[in-house]
Amino acid sequence: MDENRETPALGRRALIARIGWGAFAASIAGSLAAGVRYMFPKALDEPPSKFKAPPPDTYGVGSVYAVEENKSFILRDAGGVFAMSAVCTHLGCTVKHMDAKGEFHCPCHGSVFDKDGTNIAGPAPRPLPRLDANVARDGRLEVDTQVEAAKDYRVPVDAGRG
Amino acid sequence: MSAHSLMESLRCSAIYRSIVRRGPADNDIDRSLAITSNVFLHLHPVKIRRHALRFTYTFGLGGITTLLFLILCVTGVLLMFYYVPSPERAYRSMQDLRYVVPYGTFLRNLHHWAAHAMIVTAALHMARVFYTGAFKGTRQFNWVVGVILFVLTLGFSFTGYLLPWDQLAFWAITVGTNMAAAVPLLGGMIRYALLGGNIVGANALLRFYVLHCAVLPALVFVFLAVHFWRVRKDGGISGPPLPAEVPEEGPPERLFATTPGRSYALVALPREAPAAVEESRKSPEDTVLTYPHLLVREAAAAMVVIGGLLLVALFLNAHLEEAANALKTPDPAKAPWYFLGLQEVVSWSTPFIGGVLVPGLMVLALLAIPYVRPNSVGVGVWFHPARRRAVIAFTIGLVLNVLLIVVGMFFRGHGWSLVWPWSN
Amino acid sequence: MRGPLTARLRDLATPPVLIAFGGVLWMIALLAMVLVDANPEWEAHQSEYRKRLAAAADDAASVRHAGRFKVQVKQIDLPALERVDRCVSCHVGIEDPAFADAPQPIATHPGDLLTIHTPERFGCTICHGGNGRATSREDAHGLPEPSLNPMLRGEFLQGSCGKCHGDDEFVAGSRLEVGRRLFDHYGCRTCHRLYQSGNTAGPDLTKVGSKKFDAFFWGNDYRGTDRSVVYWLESHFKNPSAFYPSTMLNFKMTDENARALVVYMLSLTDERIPDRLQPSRGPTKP
Repeated sequence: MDENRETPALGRRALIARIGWGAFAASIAGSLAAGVRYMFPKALDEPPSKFKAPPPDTYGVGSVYAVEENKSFILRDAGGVFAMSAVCTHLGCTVKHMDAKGEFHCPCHGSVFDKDGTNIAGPAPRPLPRLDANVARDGRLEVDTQVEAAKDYRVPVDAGRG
Repeated sequence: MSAHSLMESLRCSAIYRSIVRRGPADNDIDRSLAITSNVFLHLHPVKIRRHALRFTYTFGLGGITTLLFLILCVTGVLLMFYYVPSPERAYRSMQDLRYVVPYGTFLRNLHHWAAHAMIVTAALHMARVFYTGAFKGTRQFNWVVGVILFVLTLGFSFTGYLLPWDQLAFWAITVGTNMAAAVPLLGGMIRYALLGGNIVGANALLRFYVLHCAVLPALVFVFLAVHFWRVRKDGGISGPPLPAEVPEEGPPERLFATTPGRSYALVALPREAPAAVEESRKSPEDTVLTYPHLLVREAAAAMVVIGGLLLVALFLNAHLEEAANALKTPDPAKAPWYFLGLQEVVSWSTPFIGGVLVPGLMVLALLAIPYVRPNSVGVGVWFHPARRRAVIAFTIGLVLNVLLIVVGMFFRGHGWSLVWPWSN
Repeated sequence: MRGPLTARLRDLATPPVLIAFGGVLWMIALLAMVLVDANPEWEAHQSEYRKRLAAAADDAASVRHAGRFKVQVKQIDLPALERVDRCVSCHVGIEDPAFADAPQPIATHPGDLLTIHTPERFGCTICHGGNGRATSREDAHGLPEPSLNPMLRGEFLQGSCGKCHGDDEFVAGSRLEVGRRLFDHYGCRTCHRLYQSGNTAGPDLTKVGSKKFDAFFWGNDYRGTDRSVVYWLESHFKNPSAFYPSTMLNFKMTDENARALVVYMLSLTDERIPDRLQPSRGPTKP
């Protein structure tokens, strides 16, 4: 800024104008930012991401147990029990379990997943993710739909009771 | 590259020139274009009488009321993102705004206090227009539009304080709709239509929500447009008759530095008056250019009001009573202050007299004011001596209203009994 | 007419100065708003909790557990009870036995009540009262009293047990059980109605535990500061005419008995408890 162009007598007025405009611009920018922040509440009345399902030893080997309200499946195979998301990795529709084939079909765009959740046809880019599952203190299976587990993650089933 | 020359080159760019199709406002033609070529600013005339600039003539009340309405629109839309108009969730929305939505408390406070302030400024604006005789002559009908806008403002307040679904809301809707039911012949139907049924419940809340957020805003925008349009068409802001001689006044005060090349700033514009301005001042109308003289004053009023309102919203939390409870009427059950005068009258009389006749006659009296004596005596002068009786009558009405409100606020205790304010 | 000061103020109040003034106020208000929002009460408590978690972590699992702790509003969503309890935003340690000796509000919940009444099913306010949605101590605890949703404290907390548990489940000798017996002993139903039985000489007591302090008549002469429901009931039982001339008999109750009866009164609420959260019901519940 070339301050020398200002006459000394008017310096204070120019300063006030600058403060005025600066404060105005900062206030508008700050208010807009606050408006954006306002859109992100600190807590929601949403169901928690964790839910509890029956204990691991209640599922038969090869069975697929749908937990509709949590958009998840709980499956049991020879290795144990695992939870799998029912949300299609393409665009979020809920996949359907086709009993006859053991596959999962997405009704929206025709993605197909095999019984392990691997994408075998259609536009889905990834397998259905496995979800973090643990045995809670009360013996039930606790699944967290927000936490993804490793591809071969399984909760072992107590052999004596399974 | 300095910030200054950056701005300069920005202003010379083809894109900027396509948006603002005029030169820097350093001459009167571009200053006129600044008003006429801008869709928002062209609500204003290019030139206004110097008299209209005097703060002690208008106190900026109409403009401040408009500003408050715009603030209410912005904050209201933001509140709508969280508010759910159902009896189960309305009160919870209020609590969530307070406890888990960032700045939710502040925003609700802002909406709340802007609404209260708007009633005050609208009433004062009306009083100003009355006392300066500004409703006379060509402006008769615009007074009517103003009264309609004032009634709509009260409608906004009534429908608005119902939405939190707290005790105030529930009992206000109960009393208010029963007052509507006192209308002869059609009363029952009106109450049924307002409530969407026979009891105060989900339908009623939804109806008042739609009224508050859709119907009333639409009506206010329409009547505001008419109000502004008529200000222009009725001859601009009122003022005393033009003097026979051109007054000798100094040039408009210099507001800012006369730094060359800084004229882009709105507030930097009123530099030393060039010849053209001198000329316009010598015209019989004694006018000045709206840009910058009026705009810079409007900006000042707006910034002070916004700043003050934000401070109030920071320190004073909007009221939230206990959640609505149909089994328990609060004691005393007081309406917000602006309806306390009415509540006082209702407490002395039948629902028909207090709830229909008195407010109806009050509105009718206001509407009739410009047609009682259709002359143009005393326009543009505060408390013109020729209008002494009219001024006294209006003042009595105003003072009575304020007195009733004060009684309702401070002298009514449990069971609506008369008490001294200090005995509580 | 005008003094030099007002004249100088008038000269100062030019539009540009006012614009700058308003703009600075705007900025100050915004800044204050952001600061208030950025420093909620619960943040300090959760930071303390996290610090202690990290300090006590001695194996890989507990280190990971401490690392995963996020400072944020914590809540228990209880759709069945139509409430959200955010008490755990400050009381973060209630389920962690390692915090038994920690200071409030991050200490472990005393006793073993939480093992039967798991917080994820019952939350906090169903027993403790208060305002579950609030995230400040004052609002959550219903302070300053009298307030609409005060917390139940000390012995009076037992009143909440009776919201779900029937008379036959009351622990013998507990305040609640003693109060229940006193209700019969004094023959309260002679004048008062409770559920479907009793008379109407006095007020119906079926929902007395849900009444707020302002639903009780404090008379015209009471000047005390304690206007809580608990205080009203206790005073009224010890001397029915404590606040206004009452027609109720004076049973000359001891402090002990009066409080036990208050506890029983507090259990008589109209809160809706879904069946699946209910234990078996006692005989007097409708």
